[in-house]
Amino acid sequence: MTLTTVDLRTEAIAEVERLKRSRALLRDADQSHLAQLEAVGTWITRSRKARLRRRLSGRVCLVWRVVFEEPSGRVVESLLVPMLLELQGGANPRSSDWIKLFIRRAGEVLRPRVDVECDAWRTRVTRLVSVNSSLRANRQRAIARRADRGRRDSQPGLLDRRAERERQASVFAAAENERAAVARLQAILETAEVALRPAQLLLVLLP
Amino acid sequence: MVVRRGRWRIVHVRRHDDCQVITMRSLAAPHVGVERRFLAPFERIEPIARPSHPKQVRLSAWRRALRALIAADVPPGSLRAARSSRIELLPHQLEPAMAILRGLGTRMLIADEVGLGKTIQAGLIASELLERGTIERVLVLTPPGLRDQWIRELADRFAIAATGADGPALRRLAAALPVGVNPWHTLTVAVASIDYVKRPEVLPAVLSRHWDLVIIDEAHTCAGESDRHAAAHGLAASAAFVILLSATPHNGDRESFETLCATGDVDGTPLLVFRRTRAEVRVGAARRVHIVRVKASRDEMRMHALLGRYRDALHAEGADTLALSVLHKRALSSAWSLAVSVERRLATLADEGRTIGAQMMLPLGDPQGELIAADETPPWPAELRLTDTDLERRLLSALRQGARSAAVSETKVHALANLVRRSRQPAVVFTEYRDTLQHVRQALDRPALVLHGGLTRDERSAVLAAFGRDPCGLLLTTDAAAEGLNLHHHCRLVVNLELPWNPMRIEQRIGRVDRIGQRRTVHAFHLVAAGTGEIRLLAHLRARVARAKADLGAPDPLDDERRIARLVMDPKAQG
Repeated sequence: MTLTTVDLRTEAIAEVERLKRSRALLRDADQSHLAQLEAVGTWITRSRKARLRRRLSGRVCLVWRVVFEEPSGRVVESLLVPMLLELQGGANPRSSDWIKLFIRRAGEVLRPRVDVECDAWRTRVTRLVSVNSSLRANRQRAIARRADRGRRDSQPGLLDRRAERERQASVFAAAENERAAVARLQAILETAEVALRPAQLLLVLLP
Repeated sequence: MVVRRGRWRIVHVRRHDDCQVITMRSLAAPHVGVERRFLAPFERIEPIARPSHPKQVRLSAWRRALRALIAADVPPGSLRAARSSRIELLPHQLEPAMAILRGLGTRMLIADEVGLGKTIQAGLIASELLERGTIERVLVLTPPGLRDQWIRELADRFAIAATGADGPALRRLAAALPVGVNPWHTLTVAVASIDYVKRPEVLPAVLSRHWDLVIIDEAHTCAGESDRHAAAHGLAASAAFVILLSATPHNGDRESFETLCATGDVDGTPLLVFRRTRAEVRVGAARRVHIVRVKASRDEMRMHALLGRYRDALHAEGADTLALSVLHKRALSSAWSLAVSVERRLATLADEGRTIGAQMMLPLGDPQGELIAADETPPWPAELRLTDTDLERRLLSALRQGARSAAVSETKVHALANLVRRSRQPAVVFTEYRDTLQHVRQALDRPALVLHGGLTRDERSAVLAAFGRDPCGLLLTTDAAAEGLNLHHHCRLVVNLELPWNPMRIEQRIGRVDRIGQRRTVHAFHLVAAGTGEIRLLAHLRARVARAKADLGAPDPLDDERRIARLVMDPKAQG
């Protein structure tokens, strides 16, 4: 019998603070906006209030999102990368042609910067996914080995049809369990195959 | 993804041999957030083609979307479901879920002290794993009396719709399914009584279902070599995650503790243990403990003296001390309960010598596995018998007479009535035995609710609901029936009719009202019979608890029953 303990007190205190901030920002009404944003793509808006303009002081605010996806397309982890961009002279944020060009150029020029920004996060996610899936896979393999050990082959008596039917049912059930165990292991191993998708520009705030 | 011209986000994918069941959440108004399942490859599922040009929106909509994005942003290894769950955020309650998400273990024992929210911690783990699609099927094994409480907590706090799996519910389910379909296979989150699941006619059906997460509440009840342990281990050993919950995992028996820790172990990996005390966590209300010394009446002293005479006669024949302790426990609980035990023994003695063939009892007692037998009248220990049957009969007849006389007017019952009358607020009164409970109810001069192991699920619910409604309610309960109940929202007063011999049980009793969420000072009253072994027991328990408190790293203040038995029975013994 081996027991182990871990001390996550410091992390838990930080987590409580993070969750409190998150709860303070959580509004049911906002969820539909988020869903629309995820469905449509980049949202762009202008700062119309003087205070916000002063704060931006001629810069563009961009919010990128980077996600790790499973092969099925399910998002495993995501990260927001905010960015403030100084506009050069000659920029015309009021022109729709300029905005289109800006978005296209931002994708080409700034995406590598976003990748650099999320480097530490990427390493952490990869390590966490690998640790979790190997832990679960090891347990799943041990469960399968235990099921194998527990199986007993018996020989029914001659002309004992009832015992023969029971044996056949147990062989069938064992085969089913084995197949299910293999499928479970396969599913666990697939969760480790997460892929980083290209950073997606979600929000743009123009001065 | 685009499915049927709607836009969806993938939540979960379940693979089968030739198809996949894909759970998706709608992104399109007016059904934003609605979940649906699609069957691939029969359904056409395509990635969303994002437009190359951005969409101009109003600043308010932009700001709302940003706020939702930030609120949903979760660092790796942090909690997602906790954000929307209805729990007070306490660091110690988040630690186990964080440990699971960070891959620190798949089997865990949460052994926090009573009242620190073990149910919430287990619920949070289930909720996080379900949210991430790591698990699909959850089985919660509880004592029968806690099943409804679990279902309520999962629904109210984590929005998890759990099904109570008992005989009637499964029969109803089976009636609606095609012949031969195992109803357990249709349940995704099931809460079942361990006593129901362990039955030989039920267990194979439960075992045939693969459970991703098995939670065993009050796991100490599944320790040791027993049917409960075999069932719990069998189910846990094929689950991806196992959570054991117990405030008292160690009852002093190392082997029993080892079997508990081995529950669900298949690969020898260490069991992850969380054990936090109230002092460490620094939560909960203030607590005041009052010792009420009740002067025993002449009849009660006579009863104790007669019990002493019987004990001396047994000692003279070298009887086992631990076996004798059962009678002392009964005498300290109530004179009535001792009288019941002695009467049964006398009836057995009267039957001895008769040649009546024994018949097996029909199994009609508890078809739903809802009842708890731990508070029933204990059987007479086989070791307690004198070789001279006539002498034993004489001694026991005198003891029965003495106990009956004492039971007419018990001083502890008077003290209890006085205490409750003066407190004018809801109170919970604990005793170990069901017969004491019934006797106290009859002897009291006011109505009282009783909760014991012999009540069905509906009867228990009715009693607890009635107690919750009554601003001056009195609830008489046994340890076994009240295990794990949350009574702190309504009550802060606990009365112990007799002292339990295990100090952890005192904590279990007071813990029903002294829990996270209790806002008022908790008062615990111990009624102690002056001039009896209970005074020595009290001194001993105090010393043990003080020692454990002084040494936070020390194991639980568990007592050896034999040692306590000697203390109670022998006036010269030292704590």
